[in-house]
Amino acid sequence: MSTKALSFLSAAALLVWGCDQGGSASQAETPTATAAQPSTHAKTPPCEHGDETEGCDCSEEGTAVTADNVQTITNQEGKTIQLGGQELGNAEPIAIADLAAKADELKGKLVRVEGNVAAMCHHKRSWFTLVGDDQSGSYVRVLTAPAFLVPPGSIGKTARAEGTIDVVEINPATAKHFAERHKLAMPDDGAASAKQVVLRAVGAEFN
Amino acid sequence: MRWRRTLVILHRDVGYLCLGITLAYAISGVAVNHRQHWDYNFTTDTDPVDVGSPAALLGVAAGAPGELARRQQGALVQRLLAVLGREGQPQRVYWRSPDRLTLVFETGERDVVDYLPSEGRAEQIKRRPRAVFRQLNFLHLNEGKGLWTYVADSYAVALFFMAISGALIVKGKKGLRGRGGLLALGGFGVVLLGLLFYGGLNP
Repeated sequence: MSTKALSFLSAAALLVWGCDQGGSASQAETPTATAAQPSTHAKTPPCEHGDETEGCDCSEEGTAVTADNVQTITNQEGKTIQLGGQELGNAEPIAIADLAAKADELKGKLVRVEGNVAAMCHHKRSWFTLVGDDQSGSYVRVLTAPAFLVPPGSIGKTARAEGTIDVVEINPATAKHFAERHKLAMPDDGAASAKQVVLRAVGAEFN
Repeated sequence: MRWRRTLVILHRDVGYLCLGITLAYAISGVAVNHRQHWDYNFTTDTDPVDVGSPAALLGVAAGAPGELARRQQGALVQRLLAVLGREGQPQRVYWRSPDRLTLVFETGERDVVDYLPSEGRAEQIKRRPRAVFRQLNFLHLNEGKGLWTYVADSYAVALFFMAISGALIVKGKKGLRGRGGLLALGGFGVVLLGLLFYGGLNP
């Protein structure tokens, strides 16, 4: 390789390195995601499915978590599991079937729920639903963003999640999307908007 | 000038080196760019089968389908497996909704049967990775992380080089000072218009 070519390549490498150094200072002010950092955000349009009228409600905050924040660990029972977000603490366990009835009483409270993963957002992986073993078909939608992203292929696994209870309004288009694409029964069919109990997760275990 | 000849050689050789990864990223890029139209990684096939009401499956007197399905869930599951010709037991069984009994054979919706008691219908759902697209997206979206991050970064640097060198290797009225310059300006204009039109300047 000639001297001039080497000089050119060296100059190009220096240019790229210089840009990287300059970029690091501004990154402190403008968070960007790397694989090593826990949940960081990049602003994106609210929904990548298209118009909100198509029923997407994947990211209610209008942001995208771009780091998984999921790790594979061995839990206290010796099982290998996937942990998203924080390790589970000692939050009060609540049966999924009781959530709807006790939503007002539980709103804002830190609770734990446990069940089978029945659905998840495949695009942004920002929520999943849990159903219990009680045959009621009741479910709770667990919002994982910004704490972590739902591990791919989680449908059919069991999961435990901790977080705070909230009640959100679902517009008819979103309800239709949930029912058709995700096979979720929506409360108050036909209403202008339906209320849905959700858990804003801080952590969850999947196995 | 000799530097131009060197640039041509480098542009050519780097171009050949990047051929494979460029094709991979281009195909994946189109797939991911249309994510609002399709699931770019997986295809889901749902095969509905009329299997009959819970009463018909269990060979008992007709009753409220949901209630009967719940009361005799174990026997109902075995009848469903027999009717659908499924060997092996499901990993999990649960009610996904009040009228949807779900049998999970493989997680990730790769092999699931949903039974709707009120309709007497079973849906066999299979979610499979899209051949080629799944693999290319895996690379393009850096799902593996690790060393591939640096490979992808190096490719970005190579693309940067290809863009700059490509702009410089032609001289005269077809180069940057002539037609080439106008085309390059047009290209930058497309980027600017895109940002202006879609509000990207202040997202």
